[in-house]
Amino acid sequence: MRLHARALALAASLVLPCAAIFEDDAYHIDYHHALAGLPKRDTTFFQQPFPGSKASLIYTLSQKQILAAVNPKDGAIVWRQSLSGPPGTGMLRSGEEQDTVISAAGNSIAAWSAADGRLVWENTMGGATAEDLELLEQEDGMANADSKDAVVLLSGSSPEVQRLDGKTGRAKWTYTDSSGDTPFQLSTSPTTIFYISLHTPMLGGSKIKVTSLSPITGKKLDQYTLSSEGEVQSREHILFTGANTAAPLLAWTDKLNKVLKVNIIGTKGVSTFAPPSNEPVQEIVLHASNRVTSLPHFLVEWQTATGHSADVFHVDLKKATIAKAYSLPVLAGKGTFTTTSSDANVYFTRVTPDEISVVSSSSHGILGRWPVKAQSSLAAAHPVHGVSEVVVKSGSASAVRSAILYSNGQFALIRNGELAWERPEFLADAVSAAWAELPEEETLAHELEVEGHSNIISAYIHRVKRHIRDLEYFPAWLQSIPNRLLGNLFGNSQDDTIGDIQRDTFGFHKLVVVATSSGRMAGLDVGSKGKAVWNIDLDQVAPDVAFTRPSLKTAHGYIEVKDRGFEGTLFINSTTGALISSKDIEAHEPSLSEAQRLIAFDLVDGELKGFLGAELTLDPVWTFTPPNGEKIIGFTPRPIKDPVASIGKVLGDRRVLYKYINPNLVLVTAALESTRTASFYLLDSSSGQLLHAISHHDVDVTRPIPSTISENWFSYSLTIDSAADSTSRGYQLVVAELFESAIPDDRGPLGASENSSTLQPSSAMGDVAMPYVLSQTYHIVEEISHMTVTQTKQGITTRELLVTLPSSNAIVGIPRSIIDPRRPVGRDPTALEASEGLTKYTPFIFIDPKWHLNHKYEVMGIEGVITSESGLESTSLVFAFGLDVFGTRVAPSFAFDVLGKGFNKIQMLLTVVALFVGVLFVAPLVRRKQINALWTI
Amino acid sequence: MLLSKLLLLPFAVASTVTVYVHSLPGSDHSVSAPLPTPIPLAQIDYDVSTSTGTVSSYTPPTGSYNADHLLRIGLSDSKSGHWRGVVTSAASFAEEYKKKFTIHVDEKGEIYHIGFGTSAKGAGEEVEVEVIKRASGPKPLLNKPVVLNAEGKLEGKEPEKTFLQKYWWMIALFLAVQFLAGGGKE
Repeated sequence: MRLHARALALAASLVLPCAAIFEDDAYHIDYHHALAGLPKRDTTFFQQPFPGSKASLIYTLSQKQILAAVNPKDGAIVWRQSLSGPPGTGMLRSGEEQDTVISAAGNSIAAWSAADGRLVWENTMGGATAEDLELLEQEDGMANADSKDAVVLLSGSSPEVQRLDGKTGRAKWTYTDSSGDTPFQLSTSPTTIFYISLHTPMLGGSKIKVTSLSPITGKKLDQYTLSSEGEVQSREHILFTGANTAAPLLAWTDKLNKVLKVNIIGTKGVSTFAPPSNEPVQEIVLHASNRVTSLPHFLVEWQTATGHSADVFHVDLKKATIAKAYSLPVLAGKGTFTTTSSDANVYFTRVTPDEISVVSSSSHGILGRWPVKAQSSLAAAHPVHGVSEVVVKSGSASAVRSAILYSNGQFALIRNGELAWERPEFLADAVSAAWAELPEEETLAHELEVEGHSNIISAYIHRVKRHIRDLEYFPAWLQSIPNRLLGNLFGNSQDDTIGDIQRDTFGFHKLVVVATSSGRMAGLDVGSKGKAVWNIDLDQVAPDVAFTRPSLKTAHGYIEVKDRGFEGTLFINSTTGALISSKDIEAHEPSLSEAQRLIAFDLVDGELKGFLGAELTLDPVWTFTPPNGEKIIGFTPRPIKDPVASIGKVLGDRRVLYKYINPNLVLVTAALESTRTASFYLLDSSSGQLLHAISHHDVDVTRPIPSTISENWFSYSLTIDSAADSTSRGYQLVVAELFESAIPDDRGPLGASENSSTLQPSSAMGDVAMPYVLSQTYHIVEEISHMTVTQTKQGITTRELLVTLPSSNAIVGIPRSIIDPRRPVGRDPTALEASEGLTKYTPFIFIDPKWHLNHKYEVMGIEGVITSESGLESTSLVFAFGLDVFGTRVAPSFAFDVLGKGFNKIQMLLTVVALFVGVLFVAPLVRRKQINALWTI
Repeated sequence: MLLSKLLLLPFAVASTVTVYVHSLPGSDHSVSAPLPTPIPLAQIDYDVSTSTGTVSSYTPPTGSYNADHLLRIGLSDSKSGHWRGVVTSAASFAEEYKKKFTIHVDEKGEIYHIGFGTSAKGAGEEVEVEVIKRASGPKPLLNKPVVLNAEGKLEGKEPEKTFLQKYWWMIALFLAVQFLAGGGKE
């Protein structure tokens, strides 16, 4: 077995480093959820990508500042762009009959081609921030034929309103407000631009101040103040500022949602309405069409704790009055309303978890009604907001499709009551992820543990019993054989057909548990294209905790969830997502023998401290503080499961360099901004001894400094400042390898001794603990934001360094042989070195396009990559999370233990059959010939 | 240059550090109990410029500890009472081992971490000191640039030798052969 492993290791190391994705593997072994983040209510709409287009796309600017166009047919992303600015602040507008959409985010206003997402123009506003954005639909009562101009409200030192040319983005005029009021929003009518600001007097409340501006010159035409100080305490109390409608509205409420006040912008009258009186209203939402040509009708949605209802109001433009037209009845549970306008008509679509119904704004008769089929993925979730498209023919709605954001973070399109597609947008907030085993493997591991701990006879009885119990699955297994055989023969792999999570032959089916910054957790099955198996809200599990950055740790069958703002630990069942009480956990605690003592370590108050026992107590047993006030920005321990197949590295002349293998290695990264230094410290986490320390100067410490450690080597990347004095600047990748001794065939002072301890004294001659460190630095073309290493079951396969390149939206696997620190410098490798696979050192590593794991996918906003072993030694599972979710399998030394897709099993079988038939035919002939030969001497 | 070195010398040499030892409570001990006060273990003088150090005083921890008992060894900041260091077992202080203190210093010569190790007793002192300076990170080893002169040619290339310079010895040999071998016939 040992020899076998060595032979495999040798074979693996001899393979040339040109592993790439095979064409027939692409899109089969990998999956990608291109996500945008949770869509926002006011920046999501259906729109034709160009005038005269029959189909429309869903445009959305999400909470994550991602501008995306989604195809309503299948839910695929047509294009997306990442915008600047703090999360959830962006604005997105589009005009009728336009081929662009205009966004405002942070200090940048940009127009994007609606069909393909290319940038048309961009205007950067210096230090100012865009507060609101509107398009001028009409000018002097006439529709603008070509590009519609944008009006933008900026908050800088003093608020400004600017009109930007729709074609170029240049400012046509600027109106500056020097009154010191807080800029709030803009609204436009066909003839006027209204600039709305909040005037806050000394004593509480805000007055709404409306300034009318001329669209042509930007001069102030009129100004009036609405006495809203009784109700409006903060911005959230202003519910709606209608844009581009024939009758722009301004609606606000008070703190307790006790009253609704509506003003038709441009008039001074305020209409007051009372919500339905039976229950306190939690939320009021106003829905109105934003088309100039549509009827001035609007709908007010009242959300209470137990149900929701709505009132429809009509605006009389001549008299400037608002009157209630009709009410939609209260329905229990949560629901939402969407607005659709076609020509002058306005339709409201009511979406509840069970039903979709359409009414016209002018009368309360229901035009169409569709029951929504129950979906497991949308179970226990309610619609939060959405957009709809309605087809109305001769007074009845014949079709409706609604893109709805559900409360569980799924963005789904429901077409006539049926789920057309759904996008797991909540995964865009993922901040941490962990691998979890499938339940079957967990139970087997538990049974084996039980057998291992009892005496031989009872263990034997236990095993026999287990085997008898397993017999109950035997008939089912027999039945599955024909299917599996056929599936194998005709090449349609099982991966696509497996519905529920179950173990497969090659161990490609695993669970990844993902936690998001919004306090959501989901279990994804990586074997079936990353489908969400379960999805829970941690706020419901632990209502009094606000989860911001949950960290996950896998244990036997459950996940430990911890968070910074949370003292305790939550235990979540990794296969169902159910909460487990801590009492059930105790039984699974790892048992340590008497002599063993656990030392845990963590970052406490900027210092790395080791503690006796699993708990962080008051007194550390060791402490590491970097010098000169350097700040520890991260630490990377060696993975707990990191098998090493060979303890040495065989050189070309058959001598061996012994690896320094210490399971307790931890690489600490520290940085100091004032001196532009980044330092790396290699510690032994059981004793706190410092094994190696390196510092780099002229480092831009504001850029990410990722690092990883595996086996006997570690790697990190940093950015040398552009102002640096050194001979070369830019992105660098450093790789260091640890050996027991610099001399081949020498094991250092420890020799071949079986055990060594960093705590107990050693009686060896010479210094024991220190490794011999070989390192090399390379320039790379792009910044690395995250790095990790592939993992396999036995560690026989060569490892691959997986790096995330954010600027090219890629994940790249750099083969180990490229970054071997033993590459000869300044000379060609000798014949012996070449036989090891070493090539001459080059200061620059060109990232080979073949190393890209994501081929045609664009993986954006990756926060982290995790790897896990599969059932095959050759293959490692990779899972990347962040904005996008991406998963694949890598085989750094090629898939040496599994047949590829190109292998024709039918042809092989046919060959065997043909040979057999041939033998049957030839055998009598040969026999006769032999007999004849015996007779004719 | 020399003067400045001489001026810096006193500062560089006069570094002394006291290493303390704390006895950690055993695993059966209640966690909340305060740690016993630290006891000075060794006084070390070190010189950063030459990376050498000597132990000026050393008092091994006294008391009957069993071999597995953990002791932490470290530096204590006299002002803040801040402690940093490593952990080892009581058995390391047994007579049969040679002890070694490792002092980790940064570029300025300031001590920031301490290490402690043991090895078999050989010749030499019982207690040793090693001073390890933080290494500077590896830099990419660049290829040498090709420098051209104003004429666009490689600088420093030697001018080609003339025909005579190259082959004078052949001509000389030929002539010698002619002179020495040719004379005999007449």
